[in-house]
Amino acid sequence: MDESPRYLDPQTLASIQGLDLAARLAVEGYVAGMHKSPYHGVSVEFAEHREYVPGDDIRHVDWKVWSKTDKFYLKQYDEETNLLTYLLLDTSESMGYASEGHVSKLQYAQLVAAALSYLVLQQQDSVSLATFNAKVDRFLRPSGQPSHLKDVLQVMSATPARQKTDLGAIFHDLAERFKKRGLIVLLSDLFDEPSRILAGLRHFRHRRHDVIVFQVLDPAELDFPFRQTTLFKGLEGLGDQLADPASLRRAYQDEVNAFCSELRKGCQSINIDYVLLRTDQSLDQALSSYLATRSARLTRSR
Amino acid sequence: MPVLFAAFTNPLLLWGLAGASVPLLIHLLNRRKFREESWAAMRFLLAAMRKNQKRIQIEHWLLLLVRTLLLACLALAMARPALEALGALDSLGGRRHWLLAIDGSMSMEFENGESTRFDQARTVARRLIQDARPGDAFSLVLLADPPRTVIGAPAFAKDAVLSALDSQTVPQGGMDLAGSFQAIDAALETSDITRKEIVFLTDLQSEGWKPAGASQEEQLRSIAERWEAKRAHSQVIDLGQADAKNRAVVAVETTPAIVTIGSNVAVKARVKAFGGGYPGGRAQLVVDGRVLADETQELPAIKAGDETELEFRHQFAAMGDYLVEVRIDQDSLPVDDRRFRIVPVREAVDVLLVDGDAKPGVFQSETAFLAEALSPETDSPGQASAIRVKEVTEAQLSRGDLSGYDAIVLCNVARFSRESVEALESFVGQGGGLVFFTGDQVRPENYNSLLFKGGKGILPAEILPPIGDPASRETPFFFDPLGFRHPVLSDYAGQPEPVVASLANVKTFRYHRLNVPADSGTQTVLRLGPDPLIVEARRGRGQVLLVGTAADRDWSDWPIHQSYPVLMEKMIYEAASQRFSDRNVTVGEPIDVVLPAKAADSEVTVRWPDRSSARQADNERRSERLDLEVRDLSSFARSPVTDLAGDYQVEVGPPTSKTERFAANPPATESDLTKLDVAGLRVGLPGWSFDYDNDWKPLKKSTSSLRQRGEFHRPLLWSVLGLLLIESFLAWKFGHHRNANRS
Repeated sequence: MDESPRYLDPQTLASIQGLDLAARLAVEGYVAGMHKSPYHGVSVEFAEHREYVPGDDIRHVDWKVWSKTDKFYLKQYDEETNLLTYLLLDTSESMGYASEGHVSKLQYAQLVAAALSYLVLQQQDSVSLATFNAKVDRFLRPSGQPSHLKDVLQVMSATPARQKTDLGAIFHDLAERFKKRGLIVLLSDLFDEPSRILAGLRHFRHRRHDVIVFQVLDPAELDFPFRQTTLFKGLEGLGDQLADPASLRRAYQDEVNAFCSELRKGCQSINIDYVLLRTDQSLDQALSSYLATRSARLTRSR
Repeated sequence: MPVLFAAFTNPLLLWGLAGASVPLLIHLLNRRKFREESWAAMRFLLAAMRKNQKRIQIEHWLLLLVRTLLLACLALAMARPALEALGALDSLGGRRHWLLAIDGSMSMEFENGESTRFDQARTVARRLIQDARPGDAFSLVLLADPPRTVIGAPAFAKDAVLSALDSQTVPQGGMDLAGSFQAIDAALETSDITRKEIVFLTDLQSEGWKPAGASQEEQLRSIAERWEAKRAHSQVIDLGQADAKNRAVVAVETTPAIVTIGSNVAVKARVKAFGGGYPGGRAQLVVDGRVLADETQELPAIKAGDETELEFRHQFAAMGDYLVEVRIDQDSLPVDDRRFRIVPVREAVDVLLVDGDAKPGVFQSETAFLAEALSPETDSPGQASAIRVKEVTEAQLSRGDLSGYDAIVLCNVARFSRESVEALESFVGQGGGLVFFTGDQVRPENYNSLLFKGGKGILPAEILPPIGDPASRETPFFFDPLGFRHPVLSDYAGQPEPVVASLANVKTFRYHRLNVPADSGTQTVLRLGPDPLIVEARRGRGQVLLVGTAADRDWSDWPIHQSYPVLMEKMIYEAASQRFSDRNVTVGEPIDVVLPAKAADSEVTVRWPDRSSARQADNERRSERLDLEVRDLSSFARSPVTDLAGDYQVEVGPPTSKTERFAANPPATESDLTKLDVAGLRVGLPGWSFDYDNDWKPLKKSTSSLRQRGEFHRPLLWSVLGLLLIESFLAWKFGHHRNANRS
């Protein structure tokens, strides 16, 4: 229990070499902190019995049946296999931003994506990954194979933050590509026109996907803590601007908050879960939000 | 006000003004020196900037302005600017003419703490002199009555000024405000140093600082205007205390007015408490420095503003001038806890009766009743009279020496020669008393031309032709005593009917009507119907009474009434009173010595009283030789003004040898320590601009505040503080702190 926060701290995880280890630590750490395993109970449903054959795991032997019949039966579970999780990772230039002492948004998003992938694959679900910036950059087809994790992590770590993005167009593109219904997990700073973003998200919903939006923002982007006069060099070709942050802070925060709340409301209106992630937050919020959404989906589909 | 210029004590520090540009420089540098930040959330920043550009700019400039002002004020304050009238700039840092105007009225002897106000004034003045820059010059004037210009033309040697200052003592008199201002003005004129500073060191006693009348107010205003024109700056340092209280003997009177050997003299003293009540105490009668043990009285408690009257009785055994002193317990102002009076004790009051209608036979002469009334035969009842009379005829008048008499009564003298008029004028001039009775022989035209002289002579009223018929005695006129207001008649006030009847029943059958000139100061003692019968006027140093009827029974039946001897004695005392009261002056007045013309060659010396309570040897006391001059047929000398309360001795001779004593007392008004505040002073002396300081103690150590007047670095420092607060508030208001907290 005491261990878990450390494993969920983005700073700590970022310092670990290899995303797979980081992802495992995050998930195991998170799970260790829970009283009940997320793998059982919610996602695994009893279906029928079958006769024991040597080599079966004796943990699944139904001892009640044995006591009545003196025969070994195994409990057969009707697992919700192939819950498809699409991870959409924004790798545009703006995601590369990191204020002092924090991991970049992209790194954070990668950690979240890695942890989720690990979690998904552990549950024998399928995961698919799409990275995008100006266009869809890489796309990994969904797979439930444990070895798939390696591919996912490799793609992610090989993707630097670059180019600008047009989220609306990309979402439309991806919505066309994802044939099978699933859970779409979007990791992005969403720095684009809210109306276009929402239009894209609406497309996903139209395709009967469940969507969870993780808006990843740096604390500096929310708090605007700068004091000295600063030359802000715009990423994604937005030009440079010299400003006195102290006098602008309030106005800036108003803008950011308005933007976030517009997104939140827009998402709510189309039944999309919206979660704001700060890169100084531990990962557990992302994981529990994911699990909550997944469980809600399963409940709904049953 | 002339145009004001600012001058600076530390002009070099004005470079600090450059510091005012620091915020601007910081602002500009900030624009040049900045950190760079790659920024993703550019859209929000741009939107915020677009919406707030104007407000932020205004806030920036406002803050910049406040910060610049703040530093500018600080730099100015450090340069210690002083406001200077235009034109004084040239003399800046140069010489100054300091005029030290120290209040020298008696109230400055008030002991406040361990020292008197005057000592405190002197301490401040000394410090000011010591602190002055080389080249500064000093004048010193004591505000008093009369003012004392100690140093008129400015002195440059500090030592000389200090020793002149140290040698000053407080004149124990009042204050002549207009005169003192005049003296200061005159002293200012003596120097061509353009920068003039008048420093008043005073207790602002209300009595002294109130202009007496509109003319004095006008005079003060014009002097103040002159100072303004000269750019002479006035600084008033208030050494007074609003709550000071004082008990004083404010009057000492002796009755009868004329004291003779053996007569029972009542010494009445009034003791008043000013500014606060006093518990009881002790009062003593002191005669010639000897405390009379049996004449010590309990002094009752006196409430604030109240006074009490004490009466002592004393008999003088020998002739001479006695110094009578009433002394009470000392308080913080000891000078007025004793009051003096010279009581000349005579063997008798010498009266010369001049008979203009001398006839042989008992009670036939004109002066017979008068002589009997004034100096009754020794076998007559009652107390022996103190009046000694000598009867002479008209012819003997011009031959005799009149100076030995205290009063002369002229009865029915037909006419006067020029010589006799001159003798009478000289007699009156030396303080003698004259009483004229008319009668059937009197030639009004002679009286009017030689004695009345249209109001300029010694006669108080013009004599008009007589009316009434003394032969038939059928139509008498009766006295109208005018409510017994005059001192001669005052004893009759409130007396029972028979006593008043002795006056009211007097029948007068014939009298000279008297024409009293208006506004001449002549008082009417009593009237017959509408006409004044007895009038009185002060002439020279003497007193003259004129009675419009005869002194014998020819024109009235007065001599047979009981009121006759009473009023005659009163009139003689009234006439002669100036001979005696003259010996008492108020401090600040000179002593006038009047001697017969023949004494013109005598040496006259006035010896001042000893200042300390311990008796000084005669040769240690101040003495002044006086030069006699012959004036109005008498020898006259005037001493320098008195400046101490006490006993002044005038020694005459040789060839003749004589000592007269005079007493000087402070004016009773000076005992009232009520003081003006600064507002009262401004109201009382409109048009006079001055700076005011009532905290003199710091000036003991340093007088820099006096020397650097007109400075406004303090207000500037307050502005700095104010701007600092405004800056903090604005910075907070403009969001820095609030947002910092929120984040």
